[in-house]
Amino acid sequence: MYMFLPFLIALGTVLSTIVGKKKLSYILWLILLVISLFWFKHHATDQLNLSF
Amino acid sequence: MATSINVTKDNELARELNTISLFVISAALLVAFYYQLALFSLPCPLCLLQRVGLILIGCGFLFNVRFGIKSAHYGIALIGCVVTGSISARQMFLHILPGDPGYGSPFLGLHFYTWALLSSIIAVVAIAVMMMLSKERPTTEETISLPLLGKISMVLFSLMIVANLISTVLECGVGQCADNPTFYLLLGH
Repeated sequence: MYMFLPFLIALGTVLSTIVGKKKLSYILWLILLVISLFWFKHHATDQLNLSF
Repeated sequence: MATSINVTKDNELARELNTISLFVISAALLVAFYYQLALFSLPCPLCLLQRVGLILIGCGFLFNVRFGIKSAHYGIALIGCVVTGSISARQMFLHILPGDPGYGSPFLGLHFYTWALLSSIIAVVAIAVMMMLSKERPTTEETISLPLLGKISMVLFSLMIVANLISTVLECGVGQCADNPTFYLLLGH
């Protein structure tokens, strides 16, 4: 997966926050959250040989 | 107008605590970055995602500093804590078996993913305390005057994200990162 993408969106979130675009900041943060979870699911593939 | 000024003053402590928290998140990112550069310890995909998790938490503090104190912003930071905690717990379980040397260099006796899990738990407690000390009142954009320290914390946080963005592009290019990266893809070593 494009590992730079979350950082790019995070940068967009921070910049939009600094310039005061509230709604855009919230939307970008939400996109960042979804991408992070999706990337996590993509990279957590190995079965853990552990008992819970 | 007088009420608006009081609103800002009321939450001065909460704003300061959020500014400090934003500095702490930037410091955590800086330490991870220092280890990456000084010890040539390249971050794996899960390690990078934990940094993204810290940034998700930091965004909640950033929103409080920039847009004013809101419980929604604390909620944002808390969701970031859960994401960071989940990713770091997953990596900790990958290396938890006896005899496993773990991934990367340890910092003060613990690996970075363990620190990330501890940090997210500590952050939950810190946010709970900050919520107790915050007063949520209706505010408008005009009432928010940004102190110098708040501006510095925002700039530092942005710089850490830019640094991570550049290093990730250098390490992984524009594609997927290797599971155990040993060299910077774009630098060739």
